[in-house]
Amino acid sequence: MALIAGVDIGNSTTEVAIARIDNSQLEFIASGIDRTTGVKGTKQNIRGIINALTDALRFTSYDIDDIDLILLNEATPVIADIAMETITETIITESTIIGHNPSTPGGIGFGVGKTIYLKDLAAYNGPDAVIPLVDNGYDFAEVAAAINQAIDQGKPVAGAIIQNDDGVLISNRLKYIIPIVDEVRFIEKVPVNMQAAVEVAESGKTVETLSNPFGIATVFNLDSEETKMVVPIARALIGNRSAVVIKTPAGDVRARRIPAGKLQIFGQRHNASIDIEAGSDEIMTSVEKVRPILDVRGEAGTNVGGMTERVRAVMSKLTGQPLEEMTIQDILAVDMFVPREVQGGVAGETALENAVGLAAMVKTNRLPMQQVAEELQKEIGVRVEIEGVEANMAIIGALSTPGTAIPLAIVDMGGGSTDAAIISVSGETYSTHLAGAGDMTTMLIKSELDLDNMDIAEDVKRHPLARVESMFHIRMEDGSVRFYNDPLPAHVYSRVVVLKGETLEPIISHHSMERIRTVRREAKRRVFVRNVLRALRQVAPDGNIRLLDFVVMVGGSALDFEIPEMVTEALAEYKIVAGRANIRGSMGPRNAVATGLVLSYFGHNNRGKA
Amino acid sequence: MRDLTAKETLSIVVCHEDGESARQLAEYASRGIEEEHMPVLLLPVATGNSIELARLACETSLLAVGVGIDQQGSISLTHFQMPADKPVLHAPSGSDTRKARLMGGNAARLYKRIPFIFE
Repeated sequence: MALIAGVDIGNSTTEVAIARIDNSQLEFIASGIDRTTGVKGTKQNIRGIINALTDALRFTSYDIDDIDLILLNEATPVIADIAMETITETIITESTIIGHNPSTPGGIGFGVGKTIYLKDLAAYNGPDAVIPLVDNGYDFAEVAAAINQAIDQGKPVAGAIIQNDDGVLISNRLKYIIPIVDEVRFIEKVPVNMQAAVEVAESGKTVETLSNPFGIATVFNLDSEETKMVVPIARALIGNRSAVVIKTPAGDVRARRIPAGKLQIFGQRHNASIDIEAGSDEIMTSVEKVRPILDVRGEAGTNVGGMTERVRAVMSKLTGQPLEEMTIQDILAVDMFVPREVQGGVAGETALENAVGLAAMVKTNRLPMQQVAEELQKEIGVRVEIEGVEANMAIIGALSTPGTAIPLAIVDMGGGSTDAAIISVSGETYSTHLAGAGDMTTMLIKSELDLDNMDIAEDVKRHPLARVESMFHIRMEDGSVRFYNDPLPAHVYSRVVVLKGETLEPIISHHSMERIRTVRREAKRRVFVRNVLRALRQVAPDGNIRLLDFVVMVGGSALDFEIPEMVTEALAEYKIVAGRANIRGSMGPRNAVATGLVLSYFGHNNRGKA
Repeated sequence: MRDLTAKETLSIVVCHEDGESARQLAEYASRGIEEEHMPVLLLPVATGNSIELARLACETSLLAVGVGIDQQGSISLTHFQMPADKPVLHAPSGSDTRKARLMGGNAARLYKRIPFIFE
C-alpha cells in the first residue's frame, strides 16, 4: 500500500488530495484546503502546504509521516496584481458648497442672501436678505428666538446654516418657513458676508435649482464662461436633499482631470499606445490586437505609469527577481465610478469620480518549484516530486467530473487569474493565463461602494444580501422573508446585511440593497464573463469559441453563488454546454489540480506495472 | 395616570420618573424625537425602573414605541413586540442629556425603520 498526496499551490489557496494505492487500486481517502502562505512558488508556501495536509488528514488515522509521496505541480510562472487610480478629481477653491445629505434638514424652499454670524443679526440693518451661520455654541431655542426677533423687526432672513443637528427643532419654532441646512461639520470654513443660496427639498425629493448649472447661473448672475465653471458644483449636488452654494469673488471650482497617461503595449508583432481616458473597452481592444503581449508599460510621470511600476515593483520584491525581468503579460482594464471626498468641501461631501481598475499579470522566470519541493522534503521527511504542468493536471482532474469526455475545455477561475485550457481528441493541450479574477472583483466592489476594508468587500462578494426589516425579520434580496424567534441585535436594525450562514454582517453605507446587488453583479460580470470569453477565445481552435462543445468551470470562484450562472448564460449564446465541475463526483469545482496530480501519477505508474 | 386621547397616544411615548433629573433627560429625548419629525408625548410616572417604564410607554403608544427614563439616569427604548425584559436599546444609569437626545432620535428611527445612530 502507498499513500500519495497531490498538492496544488494556488494564488490564494493550497489544496490537497490524498489517495491510497493498493494492488493497483486507487482510492481517494481525503481532501484538504488552507490559505496559501506567501507568494506561490516561494519557500513560504511550506507552512500552507503542511496546514492543508493536516486539514486533509484530520478525519483519517494517518499522520503526515505516513505519506509515502507528495506530488507538486509545475506552477505557472504568472502572478497577478491589481491597482486602481482615479482619473478625475473635484476641487473647490475660494468658493464653498455644502452638499451633504443630513437626515433631517429643517424647513423647505429656496433662499438667497448674504451670510452673517448669528450674533451680528440683531445689529444688522441693511436692505439685503441674510442667511445666519449658527455654530454649535447655540441652543436651538436661542436660535429660533433670534431669528423670530429679526423677522419681527422686518429683517429679511432667507435661510440658515447650522452646525448642530437642530434643523427641524429650529424650523418648528419659527414664524415663517425658511430652508435650514444642518449638520454642517466645518461651519467655520463657511465664508461670512458672501452671497449664498440655500435650498431644501421636501422629503422624497432632491434639490432642483442648485443641481442645475443654469439654476446657479440665474441665482448669481453668471455669464456663459462662469456657468461652465459651476458645472462640477451642480454635478456634486445632484441627488441631495439640501444644498448651499456660496459665491466668493474669484471663486474657482473645477473638476481637474489628472493626466492619466498612456498605456504602451508591446506585442510580438506590433505595439500599441492607448490613452487611459479612452476607457476600458478601447484598452481591451488594443490588448486583443497586439496579442501575444511581451510587456506593458505606463507613460512615465503619469498615474498609469506609477500604477504599472508599482505592480512590477511589488512582484519583483515578492519573487526576489530583478525589476527589469518583470514583464507584464496581460492586463484587464475596467472602468469604475468611485466616490471621493470633494477637496474643499465643508461637510464631507463626496463626488463620483472616474477611475480605472487594472489587473496585471506578471511573467516571472520559472517559479522555483524544485526548491520548494526540496525544502518541503527536508522539513517533513517525506519524498516530494514535481509531477506535471498545472494546466494538464487541471484537465485530468476536471475529467473526473461525471459526464465529461475529451475534447474538453476548462476555465479555472481563481483569486488572481482566470486560466483556460483545452485538450483535443488527440490529447494535445493548450493553455492560457489572464489577469483579473476574484481579487479584482473584490477591489471593484470595495471601491465602488466605498467600503472600509477588503474583508467586508469580500463578504459582499461571497454572500447574498438581506435587509433587516424589523427586530424579528429580514427580507432576502430575492424577496423572501425569514423570521427569527429572538430579537435581532440593534446594530443591524434596518441595515443591509450580508448573510454569512447564521451571522448577519451589517454593511455600513448609505447604499440601498438594490444598488449593492447591482454593483456586486456588475463587478463579477465585468471581470469573469469578460475574462472567460477572452480566455476561451485564446485556446479555442482557430480562436472560435463556437467550436467548443463542453466547458467545465473549476477553481475557487466557480464556487460562487452566481458567477457560474453568469458564465453559463454567456456561453449559452455560443451553443456551449458549460457548467461547474464536480471533481471526483464529490468535490465540486475545487481540488481539480490536486486530484489531477494523483491521477496522473497513478496513470503512468500503473501502465509501468501492467 | 390621566386619561389620554387617541390623538395624544399617536406618538412616541416617553415615560419618566417624576423627578427633576429624569424630567430633564425626558425633555432631551423629546428633542431627539422632534428633530426626526415625529410626535412625542411625555408622561411622568410615580416610580419604576427604565425597562418597566419603557414597557409601559410602548403599551401606551399607538405607534408601539416607548422610551423609559428613571431617576438614576438609565434610559430604555423598546417596542411592543419585544420581550418585556429585553429592550431594543438600553443606556445604563448616569446617562447625560446628549445620550438622552440620541435615544429619542433612535426611538423615532425605530418607528421609521432607519438604522440607529450610536454616537
